[in-house]
Amino acid sequence: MRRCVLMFMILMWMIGSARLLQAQTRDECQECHSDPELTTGTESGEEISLYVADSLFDASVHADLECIDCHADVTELPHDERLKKVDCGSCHEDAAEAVAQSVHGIELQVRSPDSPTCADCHGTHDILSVTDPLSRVSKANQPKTCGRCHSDPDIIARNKIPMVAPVAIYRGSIHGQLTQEREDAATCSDCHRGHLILTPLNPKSSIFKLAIPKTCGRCHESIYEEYEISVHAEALRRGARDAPVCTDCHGEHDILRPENPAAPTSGFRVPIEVCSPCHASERLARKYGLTPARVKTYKDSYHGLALRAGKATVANCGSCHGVHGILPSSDPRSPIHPDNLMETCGKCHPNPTANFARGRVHMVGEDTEARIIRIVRKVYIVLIITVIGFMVTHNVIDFVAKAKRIRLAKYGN
Amino acid sequence: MAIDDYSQRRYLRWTTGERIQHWILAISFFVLGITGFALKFPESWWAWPFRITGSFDLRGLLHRIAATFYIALSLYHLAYLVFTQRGRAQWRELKPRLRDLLDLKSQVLYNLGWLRVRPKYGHYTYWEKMEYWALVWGTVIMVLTGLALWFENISLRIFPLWVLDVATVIHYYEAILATAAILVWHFYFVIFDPLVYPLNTSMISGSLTQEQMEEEHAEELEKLAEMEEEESEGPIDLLKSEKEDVVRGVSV
Repeated sequence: MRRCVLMFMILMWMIGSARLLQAQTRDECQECHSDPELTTGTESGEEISLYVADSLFDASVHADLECIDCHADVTELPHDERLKKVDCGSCHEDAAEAVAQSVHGIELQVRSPDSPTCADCHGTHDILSVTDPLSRVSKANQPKTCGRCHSDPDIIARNKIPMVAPVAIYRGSIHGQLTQEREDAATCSDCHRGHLILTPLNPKSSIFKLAIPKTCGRCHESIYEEYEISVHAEALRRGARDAPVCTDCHGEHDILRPENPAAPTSGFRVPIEVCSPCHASERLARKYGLTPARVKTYKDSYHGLALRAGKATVANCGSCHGVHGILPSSDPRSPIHPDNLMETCGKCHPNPTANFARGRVHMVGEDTEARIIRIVRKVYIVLIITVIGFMVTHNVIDFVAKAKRIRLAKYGN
Repeated sequence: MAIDDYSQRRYLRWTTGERIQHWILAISFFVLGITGFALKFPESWWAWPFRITGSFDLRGLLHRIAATFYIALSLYHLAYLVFTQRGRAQWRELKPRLRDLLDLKSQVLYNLGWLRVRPKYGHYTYWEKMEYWALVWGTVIMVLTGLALWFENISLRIFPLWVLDVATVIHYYEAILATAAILVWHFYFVIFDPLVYPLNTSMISGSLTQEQMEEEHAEELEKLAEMEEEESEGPIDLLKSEKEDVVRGVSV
């Protein structure tokens, strides 16, 4: 009995194959579809070409496939006028599943007519390998391909996409500029992934806050390691959601080199644009016990004043505290640990001595240094008010008396 | 040559050297003020020349150049007071006396109308002496704190950092005090005083008129007249024979 069933199945398969083989090879399809004039009308009345250029198909990754491998609903010739959409997922299962879960699939719960299909990003008969520079999804071409929707103000408005011009901004960034020069510069999919693109609020997303250091670290490995030991990474791991990851300081699509004066991470922008927003924030100060007044002590110091005037060679926050691996002064690895101060200050101030370690900085409130300074300031304010007050009083009296004398001499009354 | 018409007489007030001293002081003081407050208020309008990219170093450089002139001038002035006859005579006139306090009291009482007689002053009035000693005080403070901050790498090796912070605070507030004193005190007596306005030109011409001498240095005028009588050489043209009369004009 079992043997019988098997035989029957083999028979059916042979009949099926024979039918297909008999039906269509590519050459048969091209009898019609090699005609550049061949068109059909869509339901919306649009005329679309049905021409398939052999040269393009032969160059594609699918050159070895038959037409019916994708257009599986063609079973006889002539075939139905309207064919089904090709189901790429029948071969590319993982990709199809990832897209289905992504923002372009179901994640946002609103499938829009604008949602891209495989073909919108990859093309159709002309699909090239992703490593081919001419591919629509090659690293260099991704901004253009994604930008077909993400640079279109109508699509962005219609679908309420919060990021209004990511591609244009990206093109101005260091990553965007480098894609023209080198192959390993980060492009859209390096951060967002290709198929499983998720919103930053999804914990599975590559741009979820906690995942960002890892995402950036795929290229910036040593910086990632440095960051991971920092007080910021530690705070984040312990649940301080406001603690910064890469993008909080560097930006996202608009990342620039710190050497670029327009970058928020450039020397003289760091204190105001990078560190102050958190370290001078009263809200975060209350929450995490920071001391916002310390930022002011920097702004009023020579370093801070000269920096505000645009002098880029003075110390900014990072000059002393470090950049990615910022650690509290109690940590022996920290550049502001007393044992390291000599070296840290010595980066700019030549021939440092042990005396440098005696220098406590950013003193506020009840710190002894801050009290001394407050006393000196008060003494001077009293002195100024007394002295200048005396001078003004004296001169007003003098002025009135002399004015009277002049009037007396002039009019005699 | 004697000038008989008293109203046309001019009395030596400042020698050429003293006037040069004053103007070097004035210019360096002004530059120090502008470039200094430009550091403290980098966003202010008077700091705009130093906001042009890269020009902030120029601000510091100008401040230090002006400071160098100022310090050199102060040292020269000290030597002038010690080593020249005219300087020593100036020093004797400038020394604070109890009399200055009494003068201040009399002047205020007179201005208020509680004293009939207007006080008479010698070569330097109390307000000029106050001005001078305030300047000396300010100079000492500013030079000491300024040098500590200028040569911060040396002072950092000697003092803990807070000393530099204190020096910064003092330098700033003393600058406010000094600038305010110049504006309120000095500018009143040489510009805005109704009897002086629009300007006491003695720092340009070097001399005072008979009228000015009567107003502000009546006592000195009386002494000069006495001397004239004693020597019976007729009225003295103080500007004509400067060297000889310098001493007379000051040290009587």
